[in-house]
Amino acid sequence: MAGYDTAGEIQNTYSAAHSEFGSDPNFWLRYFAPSPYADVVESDPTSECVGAWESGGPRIGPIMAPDQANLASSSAQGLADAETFCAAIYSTFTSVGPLQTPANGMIYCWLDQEYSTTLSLDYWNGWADYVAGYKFANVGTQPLYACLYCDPYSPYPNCTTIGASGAAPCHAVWSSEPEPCGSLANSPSWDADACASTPTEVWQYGEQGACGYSANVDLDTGAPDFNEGNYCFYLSSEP
Amino acid sequence: MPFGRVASGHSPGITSTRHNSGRAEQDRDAGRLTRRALLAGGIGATAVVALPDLTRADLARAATTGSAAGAASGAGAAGGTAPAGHFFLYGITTPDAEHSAGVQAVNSPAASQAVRGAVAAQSVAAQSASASAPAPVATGLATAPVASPDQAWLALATVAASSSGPVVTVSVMEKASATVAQKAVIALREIPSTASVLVTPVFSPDATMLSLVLGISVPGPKRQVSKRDPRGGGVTTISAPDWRSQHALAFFDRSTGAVSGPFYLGDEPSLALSTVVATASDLFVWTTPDPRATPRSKSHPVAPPLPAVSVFPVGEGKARLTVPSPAPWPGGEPAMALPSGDAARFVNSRTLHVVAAKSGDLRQVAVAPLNEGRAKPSPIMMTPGPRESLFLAKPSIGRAVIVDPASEFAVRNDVSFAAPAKPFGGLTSKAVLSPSGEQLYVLGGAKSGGLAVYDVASGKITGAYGDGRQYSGLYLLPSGTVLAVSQENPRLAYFSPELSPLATADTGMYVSAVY
Repeated sequence: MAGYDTAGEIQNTYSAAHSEFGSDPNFWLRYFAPSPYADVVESDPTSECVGAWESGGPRIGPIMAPDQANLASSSAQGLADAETFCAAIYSTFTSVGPLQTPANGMIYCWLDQEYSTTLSLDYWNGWADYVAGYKFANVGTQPLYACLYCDPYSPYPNCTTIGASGAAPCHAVWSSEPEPCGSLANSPSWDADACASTPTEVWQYGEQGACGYSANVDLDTGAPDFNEGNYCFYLSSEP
Repeated sequence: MPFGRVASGHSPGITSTRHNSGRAEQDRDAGRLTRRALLAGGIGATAVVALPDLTRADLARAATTGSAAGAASGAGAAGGTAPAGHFFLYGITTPDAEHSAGVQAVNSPAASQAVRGAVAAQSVAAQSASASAPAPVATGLATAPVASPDQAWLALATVAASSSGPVVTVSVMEKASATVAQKAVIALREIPSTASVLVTPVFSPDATMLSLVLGISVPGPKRQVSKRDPRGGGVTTISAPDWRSQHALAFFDRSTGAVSGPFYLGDEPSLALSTVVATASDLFVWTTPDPRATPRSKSHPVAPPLPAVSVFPVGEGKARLTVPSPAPWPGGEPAMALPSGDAARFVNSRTLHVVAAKSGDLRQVAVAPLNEGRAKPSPIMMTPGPRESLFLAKPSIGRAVIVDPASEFAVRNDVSFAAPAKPFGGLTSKAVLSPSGEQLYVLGGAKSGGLAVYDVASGKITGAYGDGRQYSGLYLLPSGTVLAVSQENPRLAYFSPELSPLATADTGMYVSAVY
């Protein structure tokens, strides 16, 4: 049940990925604003969704990657980043008719903390509280759940921040390590690094640079009892 | 050549082997201005650490005198050169301390008295360290510091709640002396004190005008939100407000000391994040409407809103033009004023959006050497280059170019280098152009680590230092010394311009940026 994450547009990425890995992804984890160094879904959500449908992996989960210095900043910065992130997710949801919230009503929203980045408690709380309380105005639900992409064993504050007393809830960790590589159809046995406070539910077991993939994708899989695709938007039909 | 380690230095921050002194002195000698030491200095929970800006001459003198601090002072006196000045570390020391973001000045010994005076005068922080010691200058910042285009000044913004509304204070620090030269206070009396205020300062090209864009988010009444527990299956109830955001402008004329504003833009609801560029006469502000302002339903899909760019005459709160801008939404992309008076932002890590100041017309310029993607986001460095050029670097693909805005952004120089192991994360600065534009300093490749320097004209590597360490960022200090930052102590490493190792230093700070 592995899938891809990519900073590129799905519609311009999936063919190369399929050629390299030969099977359909279970899901796509894609960047939404504010991710200033990536292509973002809300710029052209219909084309992204068409790409996901055609790839055979019609599920899209959201991640945001702000300038990494932001993560050491204030709660005001965290709140403002989350506001844009949630608005990008919501406007994507309401711009593509067949794009649906998952059956369980829960969408995992990932904050990208890279290896060398510091996450302050102020920023995390400003960000995570806003995400948790964001209401989809057209349906009146609050389907977004704050989660963290990180390298749990990095020397920089990540697990200690989300596990701190007074930290806003973090519902899952997506671990970037280790990287045994592998393919989409044959992912390695579950061996993701973990934080003490929050379970690792998604594992990036193959990163393009470290694993030498030619397609602009990284490979990810869910924990043994967890299917990340169930916590993503899904397409009920071709857009 | 191994790193020099000062054997018996008295300079705080320089790794020392002398440990037979008192605890406080040991702390300083070890390069760690500890939380305890800071508390003694009245700093509170924000801990900082600092090191002198050392040159090769400083280290040579240290070898003969046994004191890097004395050597640095002596070098300045003997050589007749001015103190190298200061640089500033921005980051946090503890992940679990509220309001722990702080800025720290790192000063040359000769300027340490000025630093202490500045700190005391502004009551921002105080420090008890000796000459050439680190000087905490600010804590609890509302946003990351912003440097002026000429790197001479630093704007530090804080926001305080008061019964009459949030109060924004911006201190302008002279980097050479590390003194707070001026301070501007903007009271938002029309705004509830519960508001969250994101401050975005931006200097004019000559640094005489400081413009502030304020993203003001106001919470509505709290409502009860039921959230299913993804693991346990239970339901948790949280209380959360709906937030509505708007923007305001304020201007600080540093030549007269006058503050104008706040000017509320009346753009509620919009998203608080913005992208801002200041020219000598105009302020460009990119903003995005809040999509919830438009009725939306699944049966009648509506495209996401487009951002807009407004051009304000500097000092005024009414835009002289506002035009739609192509996606993406603003929020952290590199942006800067062009010599022509137009403004540019670099989006999607491959395309320049250039906005004409007169008309608002927008051009999209693809910078061909940088038009290559990766699975991970690919940060872009964009800074002024020599002779009114633009320097652009994309470490994830190992490419840097100098382009000419006056010639349709034609590529003047194009340098390829080995991509570092971690091109995204930590400090943004991973490729730096020398002031002359002749040398390009980059983090070493994934296999070698260390640093490398290239001759820009030929594109050829002219020096490298590889010790296997993977640095997360590098900077050129005022002295010309190259500073590299890594994830574990010694976090700071000094190199000569030729990349000969000079010294290392510990810091208890998680460094997020260097100014």
